[in-house]
Amino acid sequence: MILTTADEGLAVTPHGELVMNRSLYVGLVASALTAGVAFTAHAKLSATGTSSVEFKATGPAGLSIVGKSSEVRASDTADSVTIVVPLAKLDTGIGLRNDHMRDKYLETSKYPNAELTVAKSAIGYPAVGAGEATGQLKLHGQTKPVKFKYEAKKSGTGHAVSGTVRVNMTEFGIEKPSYMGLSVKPDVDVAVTFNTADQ
Amino acid sequence: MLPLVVLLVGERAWAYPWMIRHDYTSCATCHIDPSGAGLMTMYGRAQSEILLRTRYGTPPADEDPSKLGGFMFGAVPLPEELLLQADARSLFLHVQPPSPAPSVNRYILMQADVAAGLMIDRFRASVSLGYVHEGALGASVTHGEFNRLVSRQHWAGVVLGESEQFTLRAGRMNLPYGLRIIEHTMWTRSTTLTDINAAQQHGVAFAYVEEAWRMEAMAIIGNLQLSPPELRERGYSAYVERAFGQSLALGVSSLVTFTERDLAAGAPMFRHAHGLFARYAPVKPVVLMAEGDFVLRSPKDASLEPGATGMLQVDVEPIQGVHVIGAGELLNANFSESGTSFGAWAGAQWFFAPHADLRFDFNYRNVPVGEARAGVTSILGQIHVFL
Repeated sequence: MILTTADEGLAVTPHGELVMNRSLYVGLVASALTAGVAFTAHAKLSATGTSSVEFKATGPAGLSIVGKSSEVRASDTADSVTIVVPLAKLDTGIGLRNDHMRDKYLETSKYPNAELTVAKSAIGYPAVGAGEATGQLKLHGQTKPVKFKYEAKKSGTGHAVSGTVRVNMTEFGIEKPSYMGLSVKPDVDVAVTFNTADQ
Repeated sequence: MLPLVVLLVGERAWAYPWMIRHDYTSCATCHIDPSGAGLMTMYGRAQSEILLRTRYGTPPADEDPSKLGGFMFGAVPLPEELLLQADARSLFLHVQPPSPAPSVNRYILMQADVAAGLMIDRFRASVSLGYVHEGALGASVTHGEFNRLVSRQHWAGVVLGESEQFTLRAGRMNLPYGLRIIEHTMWTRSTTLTDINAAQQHGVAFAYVEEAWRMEAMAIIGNLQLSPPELRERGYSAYVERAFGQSLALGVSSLVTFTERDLAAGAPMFRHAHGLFARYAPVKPVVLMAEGDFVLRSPKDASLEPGATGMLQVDVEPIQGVHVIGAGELLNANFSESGTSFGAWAGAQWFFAPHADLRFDFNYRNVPVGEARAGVTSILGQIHVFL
């Protein structure tokens, strides 16, 4: 997912996309969340350090499934930020379970990404700190509003950003995963962390 | 020598706490017993096929592990509500006691058990019945020294809660205590009498398993397969384990029982065991497991016998299905001046095919005998198949 922020003073190539391998970049958002950082009309940000996306699904009898990825794309427009998670990169640690997740439930061949788009005004850009906001999550071909929590801290020349969101998969038309008599709960917790560097 | 041999043999039911390497901190998804071991669920059978055994080459795209992992290799489909399992395990044992005692070489049918389970809505039940040539006396349902039938578990109960996180059951069950490992002769299990071979007792147990927590507490009314009744223990056994993330779990256990006549002391006896245990997978191929227990025997009209036992085991799985195992253990059952017993295990286990595994163990134990010490070396080779 990307949180890109764009305000009037931040010019980014329209529809420009920052592609980060093994790094979740929320460049513009991180900058936007930076208190006291004055963005100029030509300010640029770049990804740095490590990033992560992790989901946790739970089920009966203590069943807990964790999927992880560190690959994210980020982009922004004039008034919003978007974080994109390529879903095919999520790894639950078991190959067959990954196959089921991708092919049967997320259908990543048809819906390869999860995208969270947030209005810059919703996250109080360019303030730094923690808060809760609502964004539009596009998942499995459907777009629904979701509430998420976020925190941004100054870190070196950039920012360390983290966020969490609970997603009800059935609301996005995803069948509740079930295997050999065990079904996971429809609510899935997603956590994202990333670092940015201002340029 | 017979007691030593008997100690080393006996059934070793399924129980693999090193599954934490696959993020499985709880056991209840794969076993009908909420604290793990024994009869597997359909999900557990599928996981045994996916995660336990060595895979040769790239699996076909249409592979369905639930079939090959199923009962009779999937040849006999079962309704979802019914679990069936048959286990057979053979052992070649070589024991080298201190000279001049002669070495012992034996072939033993360790296990020939069938088990059945029911999972009907919220109702759960499990029963096992097996044959043993010797050993497993605590689980016997027939008389005689040899060639007996054994029932290690038979219980019924219900699961409660939205996520089926609670289980209430009654019957004969494994005692909820410490690491539920298959090495039932390891001192942490044999000293606390909490192994999964034949140390089950009858009682009522309440388990809670959800996300990071798992626990079970059991009110023990005694091993009803043991006669006369004054030999039976009454009391409680319990553990609580908390997972920190997906690769670390820490737990605490406690057990107190009372018997009118302890077999060894011939007198009324309170028995305590209280300890800590841990499982940790720093990287996926490596799992560390440790347990330490304080034990206390308090016979009537005699002095207290405090002691301690502990173990550290490392399980390394360099290739799926191939395990290299090392362990060390200590025991001082009564803090005696004669010293502490210590043992070392080295072994390998290979889940080489569906429903089948081989295991080889080298075990050395050094124990105080009067003013001297004695070392016993054992070599074990096993093959286990299940349907």
